[in-house]
Amino acid sequence: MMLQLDPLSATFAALADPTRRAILARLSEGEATVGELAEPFDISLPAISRHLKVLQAAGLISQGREAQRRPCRLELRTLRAADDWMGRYRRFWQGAFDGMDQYLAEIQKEDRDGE
Amino acid sequence: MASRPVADDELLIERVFAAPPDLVFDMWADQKHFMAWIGPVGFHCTEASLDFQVGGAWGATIVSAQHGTSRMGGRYLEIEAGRKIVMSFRWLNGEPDPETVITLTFTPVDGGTLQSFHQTPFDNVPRRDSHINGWNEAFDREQAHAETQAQELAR
Repeated sequence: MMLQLDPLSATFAALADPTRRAILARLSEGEATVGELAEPFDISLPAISRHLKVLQAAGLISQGREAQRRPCRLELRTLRAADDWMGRYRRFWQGAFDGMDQYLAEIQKEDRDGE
Repeated sequence: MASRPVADDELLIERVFAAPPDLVFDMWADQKHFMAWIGPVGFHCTEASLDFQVGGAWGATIVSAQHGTSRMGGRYLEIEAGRKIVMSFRWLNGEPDPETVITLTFTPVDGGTLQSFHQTPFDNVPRRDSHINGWNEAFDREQAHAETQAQELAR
């Protein structure tokens, strides 16, 4: 069954696989053909193609139209959306932990004063 | 402050608090304590319910004059008293948001407790995955490319 995912969930679902992340890491160095992408992996070409389909459906990569080579390339806009999303979490928690720091100081001071 | 290399697709925040591990653990486990700090400056927590046991649900609402109301929640996946909490986290604000998993550990160190906070949107992430070196390099390349283009256009 295919679940209809929002774009960000689709991005992260596609990223939740070490082979697919390795493919993206390879593509961060530049375009590559399906054959070139398959090379470092001990899995079949059809299996690589399935991974590429998932990445393409999530908008993380695109494939060129040139009939012979059809190189794959990274779609940075999608990666950037994921990166921005993580960045918002980073700011949220760092702000919250500043508050935790202050609160811990306060309650421990109260404990000491109360003794 | 991250003290180990980590992929850019996960979040690691390590911080030392001047308090014993049990108390830092209680910041997450005890509803009264949790409400006192959850949310950045300018937010306050108006409601929190913590069914603090494995499988139990948690939820909290934070409000800010500037940003309005945000609700978050999830479940506890793993608990080791005073040492470790694994919990799911999701924003519950109407817009679909990927569920994430937060892993917290509390380690006694000189000067207090090292809280290690790790959050990832992958529910089946292999802990350390040597393949990925992040996509910041790709952004760097993109930026360099854009700057070169801009310079060429300026000629």
